[in-house]
Amino acid sequence: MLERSSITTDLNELSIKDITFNYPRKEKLFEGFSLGFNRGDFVFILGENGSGKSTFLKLVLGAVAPSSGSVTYQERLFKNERERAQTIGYVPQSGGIDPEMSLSDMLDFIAQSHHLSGEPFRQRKQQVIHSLGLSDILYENAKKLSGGQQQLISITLGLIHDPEIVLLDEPFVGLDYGTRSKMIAYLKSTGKTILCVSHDIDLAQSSADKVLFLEKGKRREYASPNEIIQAHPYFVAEVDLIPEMEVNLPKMDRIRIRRHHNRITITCPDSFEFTDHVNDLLKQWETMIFGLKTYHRNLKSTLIGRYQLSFSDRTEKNKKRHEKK
Amino acid sequence: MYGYVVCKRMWKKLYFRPIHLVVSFLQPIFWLTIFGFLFEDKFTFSEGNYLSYLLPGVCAMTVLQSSAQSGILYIKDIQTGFFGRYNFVQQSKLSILFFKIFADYTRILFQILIILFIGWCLGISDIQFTFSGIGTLILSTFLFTVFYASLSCFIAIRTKTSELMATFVHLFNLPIVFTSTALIPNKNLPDWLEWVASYNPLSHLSELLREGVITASFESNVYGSSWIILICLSFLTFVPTYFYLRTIKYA
Repeated sequence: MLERSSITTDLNELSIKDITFNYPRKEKLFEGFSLGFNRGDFVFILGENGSGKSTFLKLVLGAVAPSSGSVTYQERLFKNERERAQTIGYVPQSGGIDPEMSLSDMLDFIAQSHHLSGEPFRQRKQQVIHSLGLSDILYENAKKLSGGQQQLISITLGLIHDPEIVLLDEPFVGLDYGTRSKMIAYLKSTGKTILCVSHDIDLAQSSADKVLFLEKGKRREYASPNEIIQAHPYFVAEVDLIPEMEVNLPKMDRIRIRRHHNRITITCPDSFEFTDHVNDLLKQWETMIFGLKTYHRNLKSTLIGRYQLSFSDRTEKNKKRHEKK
Repeated sequence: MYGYVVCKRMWKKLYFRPIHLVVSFLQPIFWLTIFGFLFEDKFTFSEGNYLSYLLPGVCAMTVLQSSAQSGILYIKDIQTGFFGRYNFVQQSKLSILFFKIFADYTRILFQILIILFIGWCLGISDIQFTFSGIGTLILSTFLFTVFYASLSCFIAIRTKTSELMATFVHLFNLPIVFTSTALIPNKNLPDWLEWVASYNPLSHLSELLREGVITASFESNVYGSSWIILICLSFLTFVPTYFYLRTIKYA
């Protein structure tokens, strides 16, 4: 596990100290969990389904109460819920908008709920709308907009009261590449502390200052993407097969082979062995290959290789469905 | 200002989807026409006729029906995730609930005015608008609404499904209506039902509305006790509100 000076909970903008939490009638998810975030950190929180990513955000948000431990902001506890709501902006995993309202009305509604009104609100509204290029959809009924545009509205609503800390729960799902890049650039330019739950490892590698990797409520990694890659040099190759073709995935020492739809991902901790083995495998699958993506070393390969991550359970589901047929 | 945006949101929803409002007038029309004309000759009154008696009762039933459905919007908001959004704000959760109920109350007042107009169109000519009468109408409906709407909101965030909410509305509203004097005068009820009706808040709301907009004498001996019952009911609001705030904390 990587340890860095920033992990210590002293002098952090946001600190999680000795948090213990479990859902009713379930085993402990977090136990004595501590972590600190500096001002302006753009942190991606990664991990398998059920690893505690969204719960982690809810703990910071105060939506769930830990059985012990605390969340402090600038080395002190939040005075009350009002201060917490003022300091933290939250973008939920799905929706979070009223489809029967326009963006303008929703901004008015949420801003008033944050006691933001008059000229300061008009300026803030103008600034956010201009920065994110939302002028065209400002007065459109949300249900008439695309999923991506609705997601953009959801993010905008979480930012309207200009919070110091922004919690984003899978915010970029459904956004096209350009919009996503624009959003990330905007978020980074604000200098706010941002915690973003995601399954997109590539995006984490390209955008995050740090990556927090959770596994069943435990911190497995907390470092910059490059530091993680340097510490665990795993390699990956992605092979696209002709759809619906059946292949037997061999079990090989030190090499992990996983299938997701028609794509096979092969990861290995050693580059030399890796290329040899991949070439052997490609020969076996010669007739079925439809494309080979280049060998590369990245955060994805490191996390997949090191922790045998499965970021989607679709493969298993598809397999079962296929077997039933 | 917060109250304004909450009311604006609700009225805009009604404007873009007026079917909810239109349907809420159909039921009173049915009660007034079918029930009203069916029993017109069955009951005798020293002053006025059965339709004049029925009209305030139908208004009271509308207050009950509409306030019991107050939580429906919360269920929709929970389903879209918007509920979590506007409850994690600097505005206190208690005031969020209060202004939500207040917005519903403005709608209920509007509905009552329309029903009174429908009654006037159906030939009920003894509708009176006095200063005291309007005051009685505004205050009594508020006291009644604040309790039932808060109960409805609590049940909404507790059940989170519109099916269970509809069950609640149908399960409780019908017995409340038929054990009250909203439709049938007290003297025509069996003894046991008369006793139940004397404690039923809907009976007292109906009586107050009758005093307020029909007789306008404010001398009836039930007038004072009706106010006491409704004030007690409004004080009971703290029970569903307490459980609402408790539920919302961990919702």
